[in-house]
Amino acid sequence: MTDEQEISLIERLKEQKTQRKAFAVLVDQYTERLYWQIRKLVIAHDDANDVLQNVFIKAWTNIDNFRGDSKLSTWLYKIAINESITFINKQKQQNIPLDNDDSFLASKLQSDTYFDGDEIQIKLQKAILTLPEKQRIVFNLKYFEDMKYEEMSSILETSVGALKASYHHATKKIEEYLTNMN
Amino acid sequence: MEKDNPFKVPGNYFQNFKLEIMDQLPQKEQKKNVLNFKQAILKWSAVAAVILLFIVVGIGFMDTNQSKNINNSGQNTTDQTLNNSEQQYAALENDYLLFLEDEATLSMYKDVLSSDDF
Repeated sequence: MTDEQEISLIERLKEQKTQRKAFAVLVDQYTERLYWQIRKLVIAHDDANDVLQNVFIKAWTNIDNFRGDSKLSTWLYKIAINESITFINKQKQQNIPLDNDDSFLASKLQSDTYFDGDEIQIKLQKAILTLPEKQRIVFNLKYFEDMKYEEMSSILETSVGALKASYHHATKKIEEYLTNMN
Repeated sequence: MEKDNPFKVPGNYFQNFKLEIMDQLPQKEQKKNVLNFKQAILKWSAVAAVILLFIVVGIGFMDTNQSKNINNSGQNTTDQTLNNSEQQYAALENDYLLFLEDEATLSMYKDVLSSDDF
């Protein structure tokens, strides 16, 4: 979406008469991107679907509070990441605590009907799941979406320098994990 | 390592999702174009300040008239004149207050009053 298109969309989102139609445009533009980010965090398709619905309902409920200080994508990504983290934390509380908090996500990986990865893919995903939560988010945004650090900085409210360091550590850990697995 | 995506989705998932989510969005109430609380406070403070100014000026005017008239002879005529002035002033003040109220109401509900529904 160009800057002009975004400005026009934001104006239409502010007007009651055009708000619903404009929101449909928003849904159309961002559903897939948001879904994949959520999916990589929560792993299972059904869970990602639930979280994605929550994201758009939350966005709709709060659209009148969107001031336009940031881009629409930044705002939506923030909601998506927060909802994903909330979801994961709820799931962690419901699961019996194990040695590794993320082992329940790894088990979802193998049991999810909509995961179709080979052995290498499974290893990579398990390696990513060993990362601390924020590092995992940074890695997913950078590695899979090739998101610019500046945009990531707006979403995660973290400095570019810290994000670069986080990504660097994440890649090192994943390399070590994969090396040890081999 | 290639960035293949091992995660899959059901067929037509995204197309169906986009349609279904719009049905799930709650209806929003029609907003009246009323001033928010802070704006309303500011507006009515301004109105009150103008009224107060009128009252102060009016009292000062009346005091001036009163002191002028006391110095003259014919106290009854003076009292009558004073009462007439007071009444005229009170009537003017009342008219102005009503005018201010109307203006404030009109500006708050401008969009509602001008809409086709109304």
